[in-house]
Formats: sequence, structure tokens, C-alpha cells
Amino acid sequence: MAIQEPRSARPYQSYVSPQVYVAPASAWSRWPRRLLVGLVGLAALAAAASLLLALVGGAYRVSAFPAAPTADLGRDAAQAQRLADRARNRIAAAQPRGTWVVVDTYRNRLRVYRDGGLLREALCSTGSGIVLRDPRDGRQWVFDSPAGERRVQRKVKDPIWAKPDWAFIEEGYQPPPAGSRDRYDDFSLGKYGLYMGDGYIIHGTIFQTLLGQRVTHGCIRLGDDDLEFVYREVPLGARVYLY
Amino acid sequence: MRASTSISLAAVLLLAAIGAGGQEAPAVEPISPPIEAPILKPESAGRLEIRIEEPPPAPPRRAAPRAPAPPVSDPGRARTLDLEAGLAKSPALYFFLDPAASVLEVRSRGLVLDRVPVLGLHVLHHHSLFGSGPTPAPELPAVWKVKDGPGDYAREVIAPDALRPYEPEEKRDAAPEADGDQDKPIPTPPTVYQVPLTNGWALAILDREPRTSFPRRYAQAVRAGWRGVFGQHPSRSPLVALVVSADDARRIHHIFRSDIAVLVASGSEP
Repeated sequence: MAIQEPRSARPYQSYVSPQVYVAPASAWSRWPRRLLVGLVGLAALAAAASLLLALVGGAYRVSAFPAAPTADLGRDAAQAQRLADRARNRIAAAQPRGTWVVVDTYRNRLRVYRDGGLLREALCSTGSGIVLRDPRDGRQWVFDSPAGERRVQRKVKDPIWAKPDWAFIEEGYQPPPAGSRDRYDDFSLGKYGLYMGDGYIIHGTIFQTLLGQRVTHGCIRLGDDDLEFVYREVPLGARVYLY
Repeated sequence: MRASTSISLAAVLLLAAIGAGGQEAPAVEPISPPIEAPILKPESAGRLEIRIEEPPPAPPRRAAPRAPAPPVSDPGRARTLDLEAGLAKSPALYFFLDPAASVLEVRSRGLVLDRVPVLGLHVLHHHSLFGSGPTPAPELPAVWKVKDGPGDYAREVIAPDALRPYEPEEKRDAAPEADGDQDKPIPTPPTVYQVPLTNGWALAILDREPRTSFPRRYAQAVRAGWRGVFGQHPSRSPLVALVVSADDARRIHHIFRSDIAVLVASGSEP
């Protein structure tokens, strides 16, 4: 006797088999979705962290610079006039007269003025800003040109340089004893020297190609012609402004 | 959908904030004075073309002419003159900031040594990102003092390990070196820096207008917060920002030394 297949079996199988077949494909398709969810989660985390950091950090806001005085100055015009007159007199008394010198240590330019008019502009060399340290005792020198006002205290023709300790230490040698002949150099400063105090001098140079650069130990070096002009035109006591 | 868009935007902002870290020089951030590339090679110095390329020197000018002075009815200007008279007593340099004339001058004894055009002048206050607070104005006219100048920057140090016994030059084997080391590059000063003042404020010297759009401020706030996490707390002092050209910013950098005075004028020159 033959066993009859149930009538419903065929439709059941045909319904189930597509489900079994589709299942692996749907598992693969979940990966992009998981990746996307992961990325969004990371982005959300990063956004929250950045917001938290931003809230902790804070930032600057711009506002306008005040146009009017903010200090309490009173409103008396006559009093203001008296104050201004007095102040102008004090400033005028402080200003230089006659001939003065201005040294721009950034552009390495020396300018000579007389009565407010520019007489000459010259290329110069100024302080290098280097620091030298003595290995024996830790003494150190800063090779800056001074800033502010100085005066020409002394003018010397054919100046002799009394070499300080740093001139030897810089070359790696122990300084010779004080008074030694090796301490004196009669060619490095050129033909003229204008002494401004504390060892700072406007002088000539044997390194003419370095004019226009910050290479000195604080002195102001000039070319031969400019040095001669400055020596001739700038009197003793003249003010020198270095900035 | 809307939430995910805003999250993505925030993430982009975070990335922008982190990516922008070294590139931006947002004016309002404290920046350590960098030592950068050389300006000139020694061989090129002293040539005529350098002299020609330079801008003409500032015309000599007296800050307060002795000739009949115009009347001053502005109390702010009168007070400014009075403060300058106090500074002109000493031989030191000082800065004169004139907001009305948009100029920063280097002066000594009332004499104008150099002038720098100011392209923009702003006050900046630190606030939380979404909040606001008081924005006090700086006192004007006033003399501010520099606390730590960026001009006192780290320098090249020559420190020989040991010194040889002295030998006269003619007995030395090698030829003596030229004065100064010709091969070493000269450091270039920065164009964006801050100058802390003794009154709790700071001057910010910038070579462009401060950028304060929301994304910039957000990026800046994230960076500040990030630094705070690592214990680096940048200065939050209020700033007076001076926008000048890049060359001018470099040119005045070395003048900002400790204790130099900055006279901030008020009122206009009569």
C-alpha cells in the first residue's frame, strides 16, 4: 500500500525553503547597518566630548575699544588747558636740541638729525642678542645694544680697544692677565670711536660685509665714510637714541 | 534624522577644532615666542639693494612742538600730555598708543623714534562659550607697564665646556673666526604674540583681525578645554588687540621688554 503524501506538505515546503535560503543574505546585510550605528555612536560621543571641552575652555569675544576717556578726569576746560600747558613745557624741556642720533636696531640703520632734519642715514651693525657663558664661574654676558637714551661721552681718533674677558672666552681661550699687551687691539675699532658709556661705542669695523646685520657685542659698527661723518658732525654730549 | 545631522555637525566641528590646532593663530590664544627661519644670509648683507628695499625712515617729529601750541580743552588729551611728561623725565623708551590717530609710536623724551600704523584696535574678554559676562573697558588715558616682554625671548647661548690657555693670535693654528658666527641664522621674531601687562590685562599683537565667528570660537574653546585637561591653563586675561602689518609686528617685538611703559592716549590731538 502506497503512502500518500499529505496534500498540504508541498505548499508548506515551498513556503519554508525560501526562508531558509534568504537567512544568510540578511545576516551579511546587517554589517553596514552596524557600522553606521557604530560611527554615529562614535560621532555622538566625540560631539559630547567636544561640547564638554568647549564649555570648560571658553573663548574670547570682541568688543569695541573705548573712544572716550574711561578715567574720571573732570570737565573743567580751563584746568585742562593749564595742565596741558605745563605738560608741554616739561616735554619740550626733555627733548633733545641741536644734533642727535637715532639707531634702529631691527633694521640696522643709524640716522643723524640736526634741528629735526635728517642729515644722514647709514647702514650699521648692532648687538646680536647672543648670551656668552664663562665655564669657569658661570658669569654671563648678553650681547644686546642698549635701548633708550645715551650721550656721547667721549670722542677718540684711532681708538684702542681694551679687550674685556669675553673677547677671549668667546674664542675658547682663558683671558690673559690684566695689563697684558694682548689685551690691547689698535685696529678692530676703525679710525674713530664715540663712547656712550658702559663700554658701548659707535666705531668702525674690519667686517664691512656684515654691516646691516645684528652681529656685534652691543656696540654700533659703521662703515668708514659714515663713521667719519658721524665723528665730524656729532658733538660731545649729543644724545643717542637706540631702539 | 535631525538628531543625527546635528551630531555629525558637532563631530565635524570637533575634527575642525583638532585639525586647526597648529595652523590657526587665533589672535586670542597665548602663543609662545617662536624662533624661526633666518632673515638674511651674511653674504647678502650690506648690499645696496637692501638699502633700497627698506621703507623710508619715520620722519623726525617732535611729540609736542614748542611753537605756539593749540589750546587743549579736552581733559583726556590734557591728562595724556601730563602722563607723557612724567615718562619723558626718564631716558627709557616708551610706547605711545593713540587710538584716535590709529598709530603706535616708539618714543623717548617725547621724541618720536618710530611709527607703526594700527590697522585695528579691539578689546577681547574671555567668556564661556554660550554665556556672557561683564566687559569692563580699560582705563584711559593710562600708562601700562609690561610685565614679561616677549622681547626677553630665549636666546642663543655660547657656553664652551672648557677654556684653553691663552695663546697670542699669531701662534694659533687655525685662523681666527670673524666676529660673530656668520653661518648661524638670525632668528625671525613672530608676527602674533601677547605682552602681559602689570594691570592684569595683556596686549595682543596680531597681523590680522581676530577671528571670532562661532566655529572659530568653538574650535578655540575645545583647544582651551583640551589643554585644561592636561593641566595647561592658558591666560584668560582681558586683551587689547592691536592689528598691525606682519613686518611691523616683527619690528617692535624686541622692544617689548619687562617694565617698558605703554602710554594709551585718549581724546584727539587738537
